[in-house]
Amino acid sequence: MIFDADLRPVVDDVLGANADTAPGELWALLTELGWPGVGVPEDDGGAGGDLAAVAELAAGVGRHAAAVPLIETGLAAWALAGAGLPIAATAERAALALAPAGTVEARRDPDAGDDAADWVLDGTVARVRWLPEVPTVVLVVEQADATVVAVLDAPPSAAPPADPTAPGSAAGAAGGVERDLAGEAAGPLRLDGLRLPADRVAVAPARLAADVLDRTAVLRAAAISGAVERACTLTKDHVTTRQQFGRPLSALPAVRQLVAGLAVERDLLDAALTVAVTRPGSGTAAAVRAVAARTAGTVATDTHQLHGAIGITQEYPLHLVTRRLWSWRDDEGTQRRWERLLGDEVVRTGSDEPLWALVTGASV
Amino acid sequence: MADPHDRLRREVRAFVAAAGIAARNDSWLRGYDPDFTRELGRRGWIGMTWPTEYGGGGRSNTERFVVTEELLRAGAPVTAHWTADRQIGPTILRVGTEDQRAEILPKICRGEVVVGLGLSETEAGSDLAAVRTRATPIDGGWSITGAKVWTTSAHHATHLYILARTGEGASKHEGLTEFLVDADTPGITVRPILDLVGEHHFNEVILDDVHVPDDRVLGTVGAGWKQVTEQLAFERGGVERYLSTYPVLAAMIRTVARHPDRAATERLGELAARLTALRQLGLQLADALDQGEAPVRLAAGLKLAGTRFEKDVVETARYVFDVCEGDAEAHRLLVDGLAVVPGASIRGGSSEVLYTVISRAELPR
Repeated sequence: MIFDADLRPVVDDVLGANADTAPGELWALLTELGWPGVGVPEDDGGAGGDLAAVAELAAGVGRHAAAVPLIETGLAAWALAGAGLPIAATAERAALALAPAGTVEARRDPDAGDDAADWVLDGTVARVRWLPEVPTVVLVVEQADATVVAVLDAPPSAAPPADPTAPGSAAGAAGGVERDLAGEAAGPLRLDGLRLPADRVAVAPARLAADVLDRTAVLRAAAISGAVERACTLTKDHVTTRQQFGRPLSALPAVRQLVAGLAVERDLLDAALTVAVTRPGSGTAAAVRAVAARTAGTVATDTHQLHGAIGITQEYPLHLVTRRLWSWRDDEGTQRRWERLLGDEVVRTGSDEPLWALVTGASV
Repeated sequence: MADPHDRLRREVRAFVAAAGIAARNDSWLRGYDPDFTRELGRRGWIGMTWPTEYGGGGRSNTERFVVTEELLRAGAPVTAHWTADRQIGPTILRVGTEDQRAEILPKICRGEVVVGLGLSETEAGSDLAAVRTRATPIDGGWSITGAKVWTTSAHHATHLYILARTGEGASKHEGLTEFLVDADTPGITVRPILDLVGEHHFNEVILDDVHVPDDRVLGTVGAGWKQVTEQLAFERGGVERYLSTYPVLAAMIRTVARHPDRAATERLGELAARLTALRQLGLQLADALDQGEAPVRLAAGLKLAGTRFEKDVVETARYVFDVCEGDAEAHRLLVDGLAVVPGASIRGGSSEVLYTVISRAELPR
């Protein structure tokens, strides 16, 4: 999938040449290139660029299995800009914590009682990717009539749990860094009466929380499409070079059919991504996220099958993308959760109008 | 963001709503209604993309796409003109003579032409190039003898498209030629083949020394294989490859809205997500046709995934109509849909053939 034809070769040059660069050094390079700010308006301190450009970067992260929080930092900056907060807090990498309605309570300190009063946060976000390896967490709290966006200092990596009473500090995973199947840090964000000064919190329209979630879904799907592409490329190379029964695996009809099936899965994911990027909205985001989760599972299964035993070794690079596919597909909810979200929208009126509007984009 | 074709879409919807259509699945193959077809012709919705000099609308494939998707959404009876509009008209435009274009295309646009496709034979199904129907040169034309099967609407046809062998070559793909034969030519016998539920849509067409003038050859003698494979991009890449069971899907939405169920809602969400992707692929194909391409590989992928989707719609409906208490109409559509889906992944290129087409593109030998 090509989202931005000018950007794609640059992404491949940079991430391809730095596959073994240490994460900190790579991050410095990406910052120099301005990538974390892509998609954030220049007036807000970002690098500008449309959703397609950000999706191209996300796909690059997937294709090259880049172990950097590029997608999350960009989303965090985008959320801050959307709430009118300065994005500078994300400069040294940030995680994004999405708190659906009812999971985190954000309130003004009742003892103070003016606009300069501190905020108090209570609750838990079950899983935040990159926490606690990054210095900053941007928390997006969904409320009935507003979105509360807050900038938190994340606890330092591999350190004992931070003192939850220290100003601006959030407790991460107890006892060091938890890593998920992708090999990326991830952990729960626990807020137990955390106090934040007023300049680290903003109240934005209710729509912002949904917009951040939609954008996260689309970019996760783009990252999955990148990992899917790499898995398929590795597979085609393998089946055309690996000889068995005196000929390449690709001569076997059963192998050819499985490879063709992978191509069709990719067609569908690319098509859903095209819809989500050209017609952004909650419906198209949920659709592409559901399709991406399904594709991730099928592609991981079939590319491993086609690789045989070599594919399940550490030395062969397939696991770099398949482990990410297994992990990423369940971020922000599994396939079924996204399907239910979409299903609720589809059955909303009892007629097929909402479905048809989703599918065709027609406004009549 | 307003869709640029909203106005056209509104026109089609208003027409469909006023027509009071009883939706059925597969309405492009099992919904023969010549009056409805002629009415569509009067509104300019047949041959939409063809030049106006031949009676066409001079519009884009994307606009045609909007019209066809609205018609199939409603399960409208569009069989009478479907084949002529979808693939034979475009073939005549691409490879036909000026006389053929001037004679036949305006009639198709008026909804007066019903074409039966004479491709498959008893010994040539997926292996289409194995056709044995033979055309031998006679004075001023050809004599065609052979037999075709699975010809939809041959019993209503004004014209029969016939793929016949006119010579031998190094491979069986050489020496094939396409003809467009007037259906009332002496020597043609049409026999019904009833489908599994007893309906008459298919036919066997027997050709016994059928005399066809030279001006009924489509394109180049001997170049039939190349022409027919290009035609298949039109045949495989349309909305009918994923919307054939849409009436069942719409009935599921009605049913779940009345009797909410979480698992049923999730399943509808899954189908909605897949349909969103399939429809975008269909739109991309229409775009590709507008660019003058014959996207054979993409069309194969769409048909493969689309017919799988049609089957999953019907399978899902079994569950949904059970737990959410589908009404009599819902169950009627389900039974109707069950009868449709076995053929969906066979007609127009079986899934196995499509896998082969795609794997050749993915893994060139």
